[in-house]
Amino acid sequence: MAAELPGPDPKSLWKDQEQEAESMTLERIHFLVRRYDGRVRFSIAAMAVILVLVGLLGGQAWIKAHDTVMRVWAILFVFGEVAVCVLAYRIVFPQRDPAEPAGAYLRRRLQIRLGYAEGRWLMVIAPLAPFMLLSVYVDLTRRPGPLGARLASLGVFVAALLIAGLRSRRRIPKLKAQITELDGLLGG
Amino acid sequence: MSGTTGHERGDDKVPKGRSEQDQRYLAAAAEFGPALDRLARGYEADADLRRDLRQDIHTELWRSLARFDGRCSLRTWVYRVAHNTAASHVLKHRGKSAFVGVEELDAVRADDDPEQDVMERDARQRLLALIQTLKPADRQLTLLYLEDLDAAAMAEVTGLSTGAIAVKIHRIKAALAARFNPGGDDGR
Repeated sequence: MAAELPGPDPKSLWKDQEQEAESMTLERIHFLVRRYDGRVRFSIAAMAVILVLVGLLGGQAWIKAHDTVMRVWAILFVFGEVAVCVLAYRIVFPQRDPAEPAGAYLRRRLQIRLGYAEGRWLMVIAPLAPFMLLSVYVDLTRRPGPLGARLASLGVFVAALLIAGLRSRRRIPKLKAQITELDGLLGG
Repeated sequence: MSGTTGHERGDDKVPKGRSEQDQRYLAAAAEFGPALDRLARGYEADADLRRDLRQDIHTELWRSLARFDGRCSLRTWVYRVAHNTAASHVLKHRGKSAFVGVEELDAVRADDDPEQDVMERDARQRLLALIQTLKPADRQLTLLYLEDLDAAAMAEVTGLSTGAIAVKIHRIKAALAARFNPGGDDGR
């Protein structure tokens, strides 16, 4: 470790830094905003295309359905996918106040991360759960082939969910500690 | 724009035309541009990511000024937007880096890190390295302190209580004094 060196006042040291880059021009800002808005429009268009495809696939499944179970399967698929798209849109494009006090904003962001670490991300795919459960039922009771192979694919899916959940939970203690500290700073 | 906070939705309707928004931005950038550059340095060590962060901060600031409603001073507004954008950036790009609180800086000093030894040859680099090690909440206060904001102004920007800020600032001053002026004053 190097020895501590006596130096100038940290505030002077900080403020006397040379400017690293040219000032941002309005043209540059407008360009970046247009580019961002273009990406947003693309994302919304992509989501609309996905919803149309879901509708087509659901309609096709409904037409081909021979019994009530498969009709319910088609309905659950369409409604599940639409709900997931709505939830995903709200997550990707959240409403927010750009000038929220910085401590409160940071706490809110940490709380969101904590929620996901605790498994709230499952809520995003929760609307598809009835469809997936019915799919498993149909797969196990109606599809041909050895039962072991069908159970194996289900096992891989469940294992992947468990691993993702356990990995995200490792972040929980640090996130909770940061939120607790911020609560103390905000509430005092 | 890298999209650090760009995917977050806001009401970007320009109240009295884009030219007024542009004028507000130009005024804010002229007064606070250098401070925003320093803030980006304090939050991001990587040059490419720092360029993205700088662009994000300026773009978010331009967008936000369409909604500037005078509920706080322009300075408070600019710092809130900038710190919120930077906090999102840090939470997104932190990777495996572990941040520490001001209270834990002594433990970081004890590490025998050859890279740190090289960096410590330059006082400004030492200061940047120290800031970039801090947890986001402590980093906000340290950067505001270095920009010469008083406790009341810091409380307005962060939403933290003035009492908690006073305690934190005391610790920040002590940590800075220990590194840049050992045996001297407290870094004021």
